[in-house]
Amino acid sequence: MSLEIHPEFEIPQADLRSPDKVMRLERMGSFFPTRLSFMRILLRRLSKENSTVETKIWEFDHQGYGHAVISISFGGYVYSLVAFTNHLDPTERTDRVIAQKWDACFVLYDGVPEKVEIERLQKNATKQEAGRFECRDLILSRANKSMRLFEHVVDRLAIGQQPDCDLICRIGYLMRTTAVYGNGKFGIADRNRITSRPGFSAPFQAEMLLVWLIRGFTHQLVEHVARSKGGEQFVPLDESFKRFLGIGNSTGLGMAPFLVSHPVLLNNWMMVRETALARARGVKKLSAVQISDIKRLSMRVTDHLKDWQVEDQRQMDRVKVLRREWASVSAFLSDVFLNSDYASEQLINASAQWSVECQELIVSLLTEINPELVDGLSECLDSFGEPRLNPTMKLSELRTILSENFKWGLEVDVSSEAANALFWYVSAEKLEPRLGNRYEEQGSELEQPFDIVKRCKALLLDLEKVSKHLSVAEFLIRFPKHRYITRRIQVSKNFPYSEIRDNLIGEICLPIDMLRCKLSFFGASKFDPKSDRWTRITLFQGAPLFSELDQALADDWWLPTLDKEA
Amino acid sequence: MKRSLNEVETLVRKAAIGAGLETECATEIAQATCWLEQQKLSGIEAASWAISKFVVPSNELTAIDNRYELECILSQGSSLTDMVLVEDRALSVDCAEQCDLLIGLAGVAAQNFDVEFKFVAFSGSKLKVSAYSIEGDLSGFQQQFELSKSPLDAALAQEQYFEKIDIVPNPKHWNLLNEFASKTYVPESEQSRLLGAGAGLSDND
Repeated sequence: MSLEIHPEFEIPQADLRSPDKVMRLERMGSFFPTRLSFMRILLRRLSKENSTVETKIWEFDHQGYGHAVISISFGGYVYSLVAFTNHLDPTERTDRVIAQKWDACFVLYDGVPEKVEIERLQKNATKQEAGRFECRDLILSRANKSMRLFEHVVDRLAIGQQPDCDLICRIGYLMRTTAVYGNGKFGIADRNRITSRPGFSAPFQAEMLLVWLIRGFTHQLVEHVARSKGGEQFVPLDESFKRFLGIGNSTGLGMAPFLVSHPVLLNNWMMVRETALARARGVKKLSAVQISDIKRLSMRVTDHLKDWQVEDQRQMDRVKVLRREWASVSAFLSDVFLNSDYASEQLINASAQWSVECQELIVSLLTEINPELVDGLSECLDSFGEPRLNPTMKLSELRTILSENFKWGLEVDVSSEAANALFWYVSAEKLEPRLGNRYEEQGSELEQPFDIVKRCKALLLDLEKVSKHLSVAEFLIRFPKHRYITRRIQVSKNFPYSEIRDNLIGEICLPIDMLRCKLSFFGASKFDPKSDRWTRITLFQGAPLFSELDQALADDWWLPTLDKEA
Repeated sequence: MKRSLNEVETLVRKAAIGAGLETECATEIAQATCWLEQQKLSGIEAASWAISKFVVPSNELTAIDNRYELECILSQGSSLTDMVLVEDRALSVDCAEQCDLLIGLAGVAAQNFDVEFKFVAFSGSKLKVSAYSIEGDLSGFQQQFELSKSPLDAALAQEQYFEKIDIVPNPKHWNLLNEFASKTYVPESEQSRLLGAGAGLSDND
């Protein structure tokens, strides 16, 4: 069967922004979620399928300790959240990865577990990293309560009142996860067990499904405890509050190395995001619906920014700038402007006057109003793995790619202390990625290969010693130490967004930028940095509830705000 | 105890790096190990043996009179596979070690380049390694053989896949790999603990 491409179906699009502009940490650390974020993709799919959620088992005491099984039909399969909760002494409650006890532990199970399987999971899931799992266990996670909000909501509902709106708005979740493990960790299923199943081809869909189910579970749990406490006085939690309550998350350096060790995947995420923007910029005339949407969403952004309060001075300063700038952006969006030709392209060009964070917020906004043009791109987010080194390439070509795609790195003076200040390593304690100061801490001899710039320079020096007509294979026999960087350089030939174009071991590298980039692809918002290397975020805030997947608005929760009038 | 493929790949890669192998070679050895395990061959045993014997610095791969002297699969196996991909002729190989991992390296390369590899031993035994399968006699490839590649129909290769299998490593081999992997970990310091996620806050908020 052949496929004909009709010219009238071609999608006009502007040029992609260059990797030199996009792949800088400052910009990546300014990303916002888009409709192509993984949570949005999942919920669209669930909504399209009209998936149904059913609580199969709910066995909890009056304090909310016990277990539950909540199942969902999805893509022709049934998956279950298996949840365990127990009492946790406040002295043992920590979000650190070194924790050994949690308020709640979860598994996304392939199917509906029998009693014997629930017993197995109870023994292992509550131990998390110290447990062992089977291939029907797809994802593993744990969470701690937000004590101030969970108890407040229980107390209020128990006496027939709704919780304090400001507190809900300020915290935004009843529990926060402190780890979500997939892809074979501790014996759980390898990712390839499920990637061919409907709905799981996009990245991190199983992880997102688990977190969405956890979020719904927390709503049920808080009502259960309040009902037990209040008896007849109990009232259920208002639906608008439930919708606003997402799942919190503490994320540290563990996420950052992923972007470096998966260059093709990083490229695909970025390429999809940039293609979406290019398509939005290629629209000549915005439709009446798009004009209405952009105005409505712009007002929502204003409210969202008003709600975004953090203690971190750097981020709070940026939010304040953003609030001011968004007033200017909103003023820009007059009817005359929005009805002019290529209004989106004009807006992008005009955004150069504002901060990088504002520019990226506009990118997300323009992506949001073009569902028909961009939603299909979600099929292009995944990768089929990292390609093996190509030994047949001639050194002349390798050198050309190096000098063109890594020009940014070759310009760095790697001889200075500042350019070598940091080293990435794996800690012996819980095997977590960490970042050290090369001149103050031990262990730099065991650093991870994130010194891309130094490796490029070293390769260039050795390339100058040999004939450019040699193959990569012949060169690497003599210089095997360059194998890793050679492959990365080759990857960049076909995957232009595969490298972060900043020195990752330089003094001014801020890991928080890498975290925000990755988390924005997940769909996180309300970034709340606690240092330059870990942050709290909220997931699924504003997302449809279990009972709302069939509703038309199930996909309208970009940068949610709490309807305080409701 | 059953192990996932990701656990196998991650541990072998770390162990190879812990033994002193270059990062990318370690990645390829780890992938080769998984490839062998998916063929129900003893990839983990082969990897743990090779890693335990590995000595740094290793010699570079040499060819004398067009005969490649493969002294160390771990450090030279990737380069030998490279040369097979580059050359249009069969390469003669003298292999000083068990060549199981070389078969795995060929399998991984076959997945990437739409080719199949042919091992022909001087004894006459033949072995064909393609992206997802292995055909022929595995014995007789420990010493001398010829190694060549031939193109494979890309569409045919894409239709193939591995069966899902359980991997249950011998604890002796697994523990040995863990010992080498632990050489890549940096002992915890107070400074790193103070800067990690969740640090500096009460989590009872």
